[in-house]
Amino acid sequence: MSRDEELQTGKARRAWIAAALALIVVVGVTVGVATRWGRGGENTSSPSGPQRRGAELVIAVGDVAGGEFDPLKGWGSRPAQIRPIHSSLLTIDADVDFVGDLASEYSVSDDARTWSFTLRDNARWSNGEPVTARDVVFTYEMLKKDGTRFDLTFVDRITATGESRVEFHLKEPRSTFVSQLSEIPILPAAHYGPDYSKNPIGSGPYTVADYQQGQQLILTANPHWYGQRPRFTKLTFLFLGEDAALAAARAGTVDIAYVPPAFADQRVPGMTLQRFESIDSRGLSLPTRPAGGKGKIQGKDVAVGNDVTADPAIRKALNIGLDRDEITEIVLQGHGRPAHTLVDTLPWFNREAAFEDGRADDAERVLAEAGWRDSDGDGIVEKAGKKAGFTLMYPSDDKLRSDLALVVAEQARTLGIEITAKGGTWDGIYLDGKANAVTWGGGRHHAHQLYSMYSSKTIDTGYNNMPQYADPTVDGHLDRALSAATQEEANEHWKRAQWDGESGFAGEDGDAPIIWLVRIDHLYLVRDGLHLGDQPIHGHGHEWALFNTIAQWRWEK
Amino acid sequence: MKTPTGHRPRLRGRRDLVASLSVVVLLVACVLAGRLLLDDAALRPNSAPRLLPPGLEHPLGTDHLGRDLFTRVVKGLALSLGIGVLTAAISTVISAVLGICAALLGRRVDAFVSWLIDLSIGIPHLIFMILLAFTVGGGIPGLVAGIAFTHWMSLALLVRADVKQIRDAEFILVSRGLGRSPLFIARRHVLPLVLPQLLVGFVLMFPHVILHEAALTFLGFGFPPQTPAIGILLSEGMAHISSGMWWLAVFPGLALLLLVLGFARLGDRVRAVLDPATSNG
Repeated sequence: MSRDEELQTGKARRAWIAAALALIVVVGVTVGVATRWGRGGENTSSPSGPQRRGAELVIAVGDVAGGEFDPLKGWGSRPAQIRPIHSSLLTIDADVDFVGDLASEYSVSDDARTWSFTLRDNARWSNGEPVTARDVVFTYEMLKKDGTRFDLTFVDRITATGESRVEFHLKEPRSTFVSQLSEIPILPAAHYGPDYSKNPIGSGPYTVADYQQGQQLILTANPHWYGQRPRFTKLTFLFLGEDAALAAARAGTVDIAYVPPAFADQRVPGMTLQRFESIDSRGLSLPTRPAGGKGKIQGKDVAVGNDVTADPAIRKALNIGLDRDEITEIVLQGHGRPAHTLVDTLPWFNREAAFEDGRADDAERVLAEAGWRDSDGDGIVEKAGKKAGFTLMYPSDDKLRSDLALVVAEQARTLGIEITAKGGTWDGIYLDGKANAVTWGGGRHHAHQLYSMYSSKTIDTGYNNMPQYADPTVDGHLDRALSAATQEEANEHWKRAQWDGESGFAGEDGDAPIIWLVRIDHLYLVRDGLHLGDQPIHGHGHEWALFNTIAQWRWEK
Repeated sequence: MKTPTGHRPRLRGRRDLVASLSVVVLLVACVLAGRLLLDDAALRPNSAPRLLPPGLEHPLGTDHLGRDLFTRVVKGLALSLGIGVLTAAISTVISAVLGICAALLGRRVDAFVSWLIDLSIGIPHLIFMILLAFTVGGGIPGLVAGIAFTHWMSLALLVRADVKQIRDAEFILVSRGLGRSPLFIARRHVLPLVLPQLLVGFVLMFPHVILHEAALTFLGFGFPPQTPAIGILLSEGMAHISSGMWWLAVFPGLALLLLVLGFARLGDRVRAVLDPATSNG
């Protein structure tokens, strides 16, 4: 045998041995991980894990610190987000009634233009100083002047009529003023500044002990809080992804972990899956204007419009053709319910906006009547040489929205519409989301989102009205709802904005700029014996939804 | 009777070739049959059989949206093969054109091509691919551009060196003397001589390309998520592996491993036959 031939043979043998070894390692590691081999039984938890029934909790429900404690950066623009650290004038109780938080009592004048609040006499900042009417006036005037994060344009003036009394004088009645009153965190006038995020003094049950951006937040109990002292002295929030949170729960290192429906069947020893009904809905935001326009998102110039989704027939076909029951079953695995509007079941929901869906034949008829036909036999309809296709964007790290996009794309294909799902970051989605469809979400304990998502007056402000929808009749209903003096009157107009018998943004024959599909249940793996209080129905965002009752959390006896 | 020792490597080499070829033929046949026979309905999300382990009805199990993994793996391999052929072919053509031009068209062109090769090799491989794929907008065009424009350099260097060896050969000098254009010389005289080199380069590039297609797709720069590509399957499977759903990542991974190893070994064997001088195994 020559030296070259020996070399050849040796190399060939080594390559096959290497391949076989690689195969064995891959299979071995996978089987080992999958079967939890070597962990000594299912009930073993990590020795470094949290103490059972201790005074500290470790929580993995996502990044809870968006806005970094400063309302000028967006803190408070998500329901219940502020509850651990800050107080607001009002809050909601377990029945979703608006009740006093910092305010011990409040009243509204007969013309609904003057709101008066009396502050608690025992309210203290986390540094021990008293919370005064001056702090409330400072907070609202600063945010009114800013004008980007919270809409306070309807407020004429705010006056402190005493050390603990505040009056808001409105230019006109505002039926959704409770939304701002329950979401805006009150800030300390004497300690607020550009570096407030680094030293956020608040008047909530907890105070910030440590914050690592994108990593973790540690809260310790605020000794000066006016409410009943929380049972847990320290809360550590780990900003883990969904799969990492589940792995942490399995390892016994967290006490509460958010789980998307795809992981809901997982069983973790020592933890129970707790399910909370929510008004947190998911749907598709569809641009209503033709391509080529320009708009703004948070002050940045962005492209607006999509020639396919701008056709009302496309939106209507999807609205009646998509099968919400099947989507609920596949994507939510039964942990939720179909949704026809953003506000299903709430007092301002118009029942006429609900309809039978999954009607593929009717959807195809609607498309055909609008001139969309499959002329080349590929299963996708065309009109004037343009295929009925568009991109649907979703955040890659959100399993629920990615599954929703995939299932919707499959169903739409059977209707003759080609949807290409595309994952990305929220920053990218906001920039491209006015020219493409987006898996959108929302849900509040008040009706204001109906205005911010559908009124033409909110176009190009914040993240409002992504589809750039504008309808004068709907605008009229929304304006009347907003300025109604009573909740009953407002509810009537909110309902008519959805569908008034002839037009509206919801319902079978509505304009459907946003096609709402499902209302999700929030699912958490919770350490056995941990009681999370009397939770009201959850608002949008599993990250913060639990916080309404954060001071009530306790171990069950 | 004693077998002459000199025959053993040849026999082993032949056995190796047969084994590699068998794996490749089996996979390609499986993929082609799958494309023809498997029902696309199995790729649609459905609520009934979710996260089933491998069994009779679903040989490789199902995923969290109830899709049949066997169908998805087979369709994914078909996609990988298609992308592999297309991208390796484009890359080979780029190598051939630039390599021959550098050797035949004078010093300035040679210097330019050499600079281009140095530049392309100098940029980190994966980053260059991701940048190209992202710029083109992902999908098939992004994958093809990202991989094809980052894998031509080595082969172009080989082609350039080969052509330089023969550019002063008498038959080329005579052709030049007769007033033939460089294009004619390249097409008529040079290309046939470097064709075996290009073929070997193509076959060796093929598994590399498939691996990069899976990597780019895994990282989110390739196919859209509803496409049953191997990279997508691996990416989705990773989220479930710690939950005990091992089949979601293992089977797509094994299929990719087999495909890449099979073609890599086949490429080596083909090189041993067509270009024994540079073959090392």
